[in-house]
Amino acid sequence: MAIDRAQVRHVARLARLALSPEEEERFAAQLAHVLEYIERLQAVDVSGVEPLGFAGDAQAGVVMRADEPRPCLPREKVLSQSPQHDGQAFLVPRIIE
Amino acid sequence: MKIDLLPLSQISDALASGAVSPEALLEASLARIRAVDGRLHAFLRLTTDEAQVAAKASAQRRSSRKPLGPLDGVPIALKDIFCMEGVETTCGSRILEGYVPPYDATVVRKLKQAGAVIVGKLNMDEFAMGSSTENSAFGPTMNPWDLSRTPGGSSGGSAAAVAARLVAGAFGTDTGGSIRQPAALVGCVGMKPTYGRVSRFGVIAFASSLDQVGPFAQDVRGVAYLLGAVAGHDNDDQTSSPRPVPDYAAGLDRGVRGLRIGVPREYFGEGLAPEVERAVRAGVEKLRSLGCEIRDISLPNSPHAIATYYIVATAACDTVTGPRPPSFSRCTRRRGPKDSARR
Repeated sequence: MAIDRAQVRHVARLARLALSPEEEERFAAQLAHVLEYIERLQAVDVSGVEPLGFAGDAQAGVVMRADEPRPCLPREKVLSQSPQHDGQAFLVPRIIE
Repeated sequence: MKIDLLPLSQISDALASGAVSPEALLEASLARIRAVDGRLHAFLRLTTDEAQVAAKASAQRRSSRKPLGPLDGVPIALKDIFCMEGVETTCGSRILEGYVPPYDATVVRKLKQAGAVIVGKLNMDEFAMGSSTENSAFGPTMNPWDLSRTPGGSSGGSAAAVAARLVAGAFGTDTGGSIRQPAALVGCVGMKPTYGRVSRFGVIAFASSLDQVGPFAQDVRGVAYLLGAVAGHDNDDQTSSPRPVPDYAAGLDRGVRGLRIGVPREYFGEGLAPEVERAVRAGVEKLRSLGCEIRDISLPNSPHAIATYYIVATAACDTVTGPRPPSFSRCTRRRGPKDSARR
């Protein structure tokens, strides 16, 4: 499946990436290559194959931990690693106008 | 032979017999790192102070004959993907530069509880995406056998550090070969345990349905000790298996006689280098001569593995990292299926 430059520009804008015209060209080819993978897999007969919903040890089952309160990390310790905080919460750029 | 150059299980024996102290082993490890790591670049940073405290505590347990297990006093190091309290953790990326985790990954906590002496954090491809460790934002790691070659990746620092005997053991992570391939490229033992065997809590994710933590050492017994220390269920990782953890070293002396080993014929297909095929076939014959039953088997879906992997891994990765910000190294941003096909 072919991907045109406009589609690459659209995806790049969503990903906040600034691409040069050469990069647009190169990524168009690479994205087409990824879609080729999907097309190739669509040719595989998977009728009768159960979809895999859990990558873990399903046979052994999932162990739920007891729903009991336990101490968490101190707030100042957690906030200390954020680029911006007000002493109470993380500060992040507004994303909804 | 110097004890610090021996395989992990023999270092462990030497600690048990009192032939060497944890402090002397740590000093030897640090001296060797100072001597060779300028050329190798396996380490991103050392945790010398923490290691010295750990070695001292271990020496006290060893001398009072109360060791915490076979790893007590053994110098090891960790891929820089494991959160370690108070120690900068970058995952090979400038995005996380300066990040100092406020907690230990479960693996790190368990290794500390086993008495292991953690010497430092090891280089890796940025966010574990890559297979040569050239994709680290902090520069590549070299193969200790030939400094012009790659040690593989993404856990290339772990493999190189063990192969160069900078530490007795190391941990890495494997999503699509990132332990097994570098272990093969430097000639040490590395394994990707079954998914769910080891907790991933505090391990920076690449693709959560594929990632698994695993050990590196010079010897199989050493790998058995390392895996035994970290395996098991963890309330903080719901994908970790509740199955009991056996003593992985217990059966090693029985040998391989009677083991049934399948050799999937699809693995000997297109793109296999003749010298690699010769080496693998020779390995199969060696196992046969040791009493293994070798069976020709078929895994008919193998040809679809790469396509499946690159769809699942990249989609899963995107849910973890979101839009790639411009501070991703240019290599990672430019990474596409053309160069990833090497992986």
